[in-house]
Amino acid sequence: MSILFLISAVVAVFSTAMVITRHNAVHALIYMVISFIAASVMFYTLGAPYAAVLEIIVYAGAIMVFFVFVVMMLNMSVSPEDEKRATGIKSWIFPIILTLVLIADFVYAFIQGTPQTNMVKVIDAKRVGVSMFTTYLLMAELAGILLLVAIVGAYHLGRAPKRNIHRYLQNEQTQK
Amino acid sequence: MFVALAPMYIIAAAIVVLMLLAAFVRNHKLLAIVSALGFIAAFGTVFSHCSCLSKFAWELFVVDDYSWALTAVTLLSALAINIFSYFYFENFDEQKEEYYVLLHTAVLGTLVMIAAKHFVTFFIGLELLSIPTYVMVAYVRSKKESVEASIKYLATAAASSAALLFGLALIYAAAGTMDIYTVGRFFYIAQSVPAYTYVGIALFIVAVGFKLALAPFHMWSPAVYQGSAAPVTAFVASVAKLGVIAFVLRLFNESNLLNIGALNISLVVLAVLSMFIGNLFAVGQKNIKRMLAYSSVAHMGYLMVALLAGGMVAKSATGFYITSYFVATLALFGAISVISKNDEPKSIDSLKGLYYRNPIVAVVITIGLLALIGMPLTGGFMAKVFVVKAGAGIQQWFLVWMLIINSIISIYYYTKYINVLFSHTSEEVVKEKVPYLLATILIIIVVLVIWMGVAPQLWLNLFYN
Amino acid sequence: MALVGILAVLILGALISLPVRRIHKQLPWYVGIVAVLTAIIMSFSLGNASSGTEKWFARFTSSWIPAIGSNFSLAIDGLSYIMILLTLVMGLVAIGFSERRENSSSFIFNSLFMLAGVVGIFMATDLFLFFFFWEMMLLPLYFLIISANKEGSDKAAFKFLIYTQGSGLIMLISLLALYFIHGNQTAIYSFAFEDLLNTQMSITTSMLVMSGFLLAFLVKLPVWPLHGWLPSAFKTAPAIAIFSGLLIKTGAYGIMRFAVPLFPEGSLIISPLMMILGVVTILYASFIAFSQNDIRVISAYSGISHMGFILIGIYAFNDLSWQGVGVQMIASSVGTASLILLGEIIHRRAGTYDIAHLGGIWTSNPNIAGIGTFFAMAALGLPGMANFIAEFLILAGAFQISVLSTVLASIGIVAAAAYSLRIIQKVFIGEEKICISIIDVTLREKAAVAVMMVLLLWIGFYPSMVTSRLEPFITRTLNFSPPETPGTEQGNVDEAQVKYSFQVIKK
Repeated sequence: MSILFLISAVVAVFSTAMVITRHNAVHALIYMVISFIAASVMFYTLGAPYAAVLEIIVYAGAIMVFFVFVVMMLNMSVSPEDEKRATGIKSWIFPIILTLVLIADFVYAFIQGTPQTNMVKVIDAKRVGVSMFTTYLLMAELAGILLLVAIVGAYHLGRAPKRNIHRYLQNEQTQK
Repeated sequence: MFVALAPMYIIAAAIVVLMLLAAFVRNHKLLAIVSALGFIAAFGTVFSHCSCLSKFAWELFVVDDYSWALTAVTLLSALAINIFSYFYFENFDEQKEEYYVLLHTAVLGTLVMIAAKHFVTFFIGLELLSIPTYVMVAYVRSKKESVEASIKYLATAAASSAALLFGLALIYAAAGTMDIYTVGRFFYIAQSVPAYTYVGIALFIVAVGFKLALAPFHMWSPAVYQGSAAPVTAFVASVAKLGVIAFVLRLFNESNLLNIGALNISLVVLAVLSMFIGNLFAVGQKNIKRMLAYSSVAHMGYLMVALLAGGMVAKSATGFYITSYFVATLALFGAISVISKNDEPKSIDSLKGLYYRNPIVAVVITIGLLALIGMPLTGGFMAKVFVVKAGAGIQQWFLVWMLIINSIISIYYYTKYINVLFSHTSEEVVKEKVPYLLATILIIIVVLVIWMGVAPQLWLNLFYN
Repeated sequence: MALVGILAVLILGALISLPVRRIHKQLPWYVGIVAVLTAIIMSFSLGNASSGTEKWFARFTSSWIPAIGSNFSLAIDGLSYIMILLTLVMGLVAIGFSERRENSSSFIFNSLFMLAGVVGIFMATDLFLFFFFWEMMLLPLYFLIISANKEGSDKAAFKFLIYTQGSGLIMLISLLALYFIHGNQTAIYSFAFEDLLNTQMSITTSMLVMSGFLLAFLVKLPVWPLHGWLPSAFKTAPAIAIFSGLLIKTGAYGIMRFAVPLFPEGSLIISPLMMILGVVTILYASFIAFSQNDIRVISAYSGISHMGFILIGIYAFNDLSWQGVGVQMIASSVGTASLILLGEIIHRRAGTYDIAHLGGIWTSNPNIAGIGTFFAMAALGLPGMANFIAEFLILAGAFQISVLSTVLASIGIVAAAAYSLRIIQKVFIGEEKICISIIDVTLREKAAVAVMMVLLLWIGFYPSMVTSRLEPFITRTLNFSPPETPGTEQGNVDEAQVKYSFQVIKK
């Protein structure tokens, strides 16, 4: 097994473990991004650069941005006293280390090359697109419906429950 | 060109229509009716029996008589659940319109799985089925046990989906394709398959076992059955399992997977475990929905015996068993949802003397339970006979004996509930009324149960290609 | 065609009885009576068409489930004909006798369905259809027991269901085994009785498969130690008791019609064991009956002891004893039903079934006492009544096979005399222990009792009516050719010896 693959795999597993053990939501998200980057490096070392780039763009780019948006909207930020601690050096030094490891891994693979990366068969975006629009067209449509229903479901579950105020109190409320 | 996948198109269109309708008009009755019309329209296309797939679909789907028959079963079951849900949710203070969107999507997922010949199709269908189901289970958010059940279901289902994906990836790595028929040919020709293929198949079976609630992957089932609303339980018990069963049957038939000895043995173990665990745990249950959860674990065990038989016998026996099981389950949960007007029957005592309060519902429950026992005159009996015949046909006498022993065990806990329906209580007998539409649907379902028990040949012919 | 007609009439009657309750409360009862009467008339008309040479004198076949090779084929011969008539007449009595307030439409519905199931059992020649009807007769009786609404009904229903359903499922396995063995040999997968008759099997296989069938039939019979379900069922309601009495004849019928012809060698091998079981049943049941105080339980155990006689008679394998079995089936049904009727008549006036608390009824209700004495005499086998003929024939036939069994069985007759006379002594003679209403026998009760008496006396004096019907069936069944294995010639030897006594009975 290529040592490069192993390194990025270990980083991926480790950072995922960190995701589920953090108390701070934003910290967890950071580690999640790192795990996606690690997966991307793994793809690259196995000889699938297209998949590696897609991983970054789609996962780290789109999905993680979604996550961060939600965290922002739900206002899961910390109070000012804890903010000092949350952004202190202890919080960000470890993710930085992991990322540096990954960068080193990727650069080494890029320069030296693994057996797989040297024999890579280039699959361009056009082929993926053609496949998605002919063979797997219906699957893409169904995936769209899946997203739709996920939104509907999340909407229903996340809605604030109706609060029944007695009608006397209702009048008071409107008067105030 | 569109005819072959017409039911799916109609249901997909219905999803969009329902969503838009819900956005403009908040009217529960209107949406329930439109939803039912969607199912009826999709059912209408079943009669075309066309196998003409368009060029977009032939690699992903396969449409034959078998899939048409199961599509019809799905749509009719969904229609019944639709009607039950309407009357049930009227009593709850929730926004009810989203439910129908979720129901349609889940049904779409099942239809996709029934016609799937590609693993990706199966996976997408599975997710299309599961995600709305998570929400449907938790739909009545005011009931704590619903939400709790949904969380349990979501966590375990997500894990099983991950396992499934990994298994499919391994199979793809070995076979080089995800098309079922090609995979089958691969297993047939290959002298030796790499070891990780077996891991892949094992993971696939794990995911299937989870979805069908086979032991030992059945842990989510009692919580979900008991916690969710009665119509949703009806859905989870019936349609949610149908797609997976249909796909697995097609897979086993077309792909020679059953020739793998290890797979055979593991399926036998799964079947026997499910039968015993299901029946033994059902014995002590006081809540009828929980009891039905464990009993469905056992029934899936019986179904495994038919699946193992392989060939045309498996197709007809499985198809018939599914249909009769669904009809009985729908009758039961429909009846339960009728009597859940104020609150669901929490324990067996709330059913006491139901025959004198509400004879129609009591008779429906009785016939449903008798069908699950496998009493002659009900479809359940013929289904058991066909399954036993399938099992005996492949000389699996051990499985057949386990089936019979478990049927005998199951008599005990089913009859406990039948007995209690007819017992006299000392309270005042207040006759309850059942809405006409509900009563009609229940009676139609019961007539179907008996029809399948008395003249099963007609139904078998539906599943014989 | 008439065969299906009988079934159809009964089932239609059952279905009609449900909605007509709205019209008038008593209407279901009338529907029930009319349905059963029509069925009786139709059966009579069948009997007149007998030709005597063919095996079956009425047939009906139609395709049912070709997928498994099962056809809806019905046929009757002498044995079936008698049993069908017996069932319908006793069913009529049971329905007619039931109290007006117990009559709900569900009672009539279940009773008619049950009668249809029992009649179907006697008619079916396709083994799968037989099994279907077998299970079909269990269900309505189960519902009757549950809705009987006495304290013990739940337990009684549960016991009934477990015993009969469990053994029925085991019979299903044996049936399927037979079906597959036959199919493997001849490539014809069929459930028809005639097709399965000559399946070649090794002795061990044949014994195994036969024991599955026998288990179900013996539970139905019921034979000790599988008799647990019967006494509790008898205690629930009189009509149920009479129906249970009918049900147990299906066990005997099953052995005679299916178990013995399908597995001749196996039956011969197992016959000593069966004789022992039969003797134990007779003695056990008679002694228990003697010690019981509840008249319904006495009747139940008396019925069980009669079935012990039947078991001995069947496995003695000669014409005499089989004739006896045929008569005994009628005599036992009528006999146990009569005791039940007696108990019910007394209960309606005294409020109890317990004979220890009764006494001296002769002075206050002489009519009832007379009826009771008559039935008690019938139960103990007074010559001139059906029981005597039956037991005599059986013992005469069995004597040629096993002297010991016959002697022990005769002790059972003595015990029968004991418990019958005990009933008379406790209930009718002696001082009055409790106050009993002196309402005389009502018209309905008189009618039911009259039917019983007529049957008992008629067959007691004129058994050839029954035996002549049975003769073709018996000669055909018992004339199986023994296999080449030595040591199993018991059947053939005794047939030759018995021909002369056969002529005696025919007069």
